[in-house]
Amino acid sequence: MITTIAIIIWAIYFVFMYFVIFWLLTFIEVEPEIKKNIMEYPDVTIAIPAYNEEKTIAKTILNDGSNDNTAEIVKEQIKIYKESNIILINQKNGGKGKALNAALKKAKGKYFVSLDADSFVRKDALKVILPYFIDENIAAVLPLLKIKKPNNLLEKIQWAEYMVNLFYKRLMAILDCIQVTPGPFSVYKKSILQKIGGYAEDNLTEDMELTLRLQKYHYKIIQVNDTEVYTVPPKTIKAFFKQRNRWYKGTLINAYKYKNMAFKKEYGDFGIIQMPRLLVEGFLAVSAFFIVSYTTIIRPLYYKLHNYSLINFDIIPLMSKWFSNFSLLDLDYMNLFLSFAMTLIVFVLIYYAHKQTKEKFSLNSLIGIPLYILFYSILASLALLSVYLDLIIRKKQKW
Amino acid sequence: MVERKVKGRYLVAFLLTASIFVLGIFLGMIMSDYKTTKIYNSERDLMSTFLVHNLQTDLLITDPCGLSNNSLVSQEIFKVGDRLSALENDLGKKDPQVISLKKYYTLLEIKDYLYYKNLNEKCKTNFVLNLFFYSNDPKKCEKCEDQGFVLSYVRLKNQNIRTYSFDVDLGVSILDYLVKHYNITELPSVVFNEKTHKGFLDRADVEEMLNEH
Repeated sequence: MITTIAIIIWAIYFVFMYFVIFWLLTFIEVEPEIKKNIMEYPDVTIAIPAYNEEKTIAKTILNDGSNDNTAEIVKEQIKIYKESNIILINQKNGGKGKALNAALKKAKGKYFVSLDADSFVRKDALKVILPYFIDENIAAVLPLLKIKKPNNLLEKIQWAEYMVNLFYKRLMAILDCIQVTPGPFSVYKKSILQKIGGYAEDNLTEDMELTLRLQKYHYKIIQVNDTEVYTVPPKTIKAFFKQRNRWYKGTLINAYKYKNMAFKKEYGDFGIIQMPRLLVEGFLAVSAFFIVSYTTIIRPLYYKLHNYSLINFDIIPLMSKWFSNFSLLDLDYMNLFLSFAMTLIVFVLIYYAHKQTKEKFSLNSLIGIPLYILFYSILASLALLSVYLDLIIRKKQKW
Repeated sequence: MVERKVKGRYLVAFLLTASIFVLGIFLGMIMSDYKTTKIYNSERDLMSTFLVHNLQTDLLITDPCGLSNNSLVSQEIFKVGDRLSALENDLGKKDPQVISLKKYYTLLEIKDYLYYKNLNEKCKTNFVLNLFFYSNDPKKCEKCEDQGFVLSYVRLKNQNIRTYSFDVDLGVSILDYLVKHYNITELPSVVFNEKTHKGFLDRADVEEMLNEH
């Protein structure tokens, strides 16, 4: 029966399927990567803004007003690695953007790298990344950002999310549509970074703001898939929501800041597809999530429970009837076909995501992917909802 | 500066997505037609069975009481009813094909009801016969769906119960006669062994009536 709700749900499925097919079509254009060898070893500055990172800083240095032992640990590291040219810049806590700008001012060499204190890089990362700066317009080259060993279920969901996102970023790079050069080990051409004014200070997602500015000035961003940087994901639901609230809020605020780029042909695919998507995606995702979950889960569940309450929850006769009276004729073949098509497309996507990010099918895939498919939209939608609530009540948030 | 172009895969992606949806809608339509034909054939088969039985009884070939424990139609009619309910959910309650099949099904139910009523009278069998009058219009009847669910449940628990559901809005003249005959002025109403109960009956009410029976 075609009802308004059915049409809305089909429209949501249509939009979702459209984007996945669009990604896969873009994927056809991915050119095989040609391994580039490093020809010169230019000077590179790696800035590690750190605020209370005493647990991780020794492993991975800018001290952003920490009130723990971060500075002392860095000083020890400087003594240990005398030849490594490590400089500690102390400043009053003023946010990541301010810290990075302080580092950018003192940076030497042609390239500037930001690295989060809780991220770990492969030894050969710079050797792999630097040869990609083949022309003057390339402003940034990004490694694959992965989660190393996801332990708990939440980390496994994020592992799958990062993998799918990486595949998506590879595709977006083809379209010149990268929307964020993440904090962990994005390598920038220092001169471009300085030319466009460095990092935005007092911005929740300074990395995204910087990327949108790079896109605004028509610079190119490359996503490579032959070196990785590993990050530590939030381990608890509370930490996850805190991180996502900042990310999603930052996305919305920055998308709004650069809203004039939307639908402008001069920005190519970035203007036509990426900016409008950034502007409305959050709202549409939350609305779609609540409509779909209300109509396909909550309402039917309510009716089922209501019906079962009428018979004092004696459901055994109903179950035996269901088994004995089951008929293929009772199935809704249209929805069954569309669900099958959607599942198939998602599996193709996940297969190529593994391939592109050089991940093997593992226990993480077996556990992480089903959990990601089942629960990620719930977690992300709740985080998005909290962002809209914060924006409605105008809650102030620090980095 | 990078020279940027809008690439042309937006339309291709749209056409592919639209094709998948059109294919899905097409498959849904073919299957709905197939289901409708299947139910139509089942209804005709049931009617033929009734006719044959009537003729056999009229010609005194078959002893009607001999069939009492081995009913000709047994639960088959209710299975057709279940398929029809599924089709109704699929195509909608106002779909002309659904309404047409329901009208015919109503006639079958009345026929089946009369057959079992006759059995009870002549052969001293003990079938519990319920007539359930409902409307799909929630404005006319808020509790009809709930009543249908309770009666279905009770029927599942006791194979001796035969519940015949009648949509009073179908415009079937024989059904209109039954509505008048049993003085159905309120919905839902259940005629339980010839006695009319107006309004919703919960599980306990229905089970109590069964026990009395």
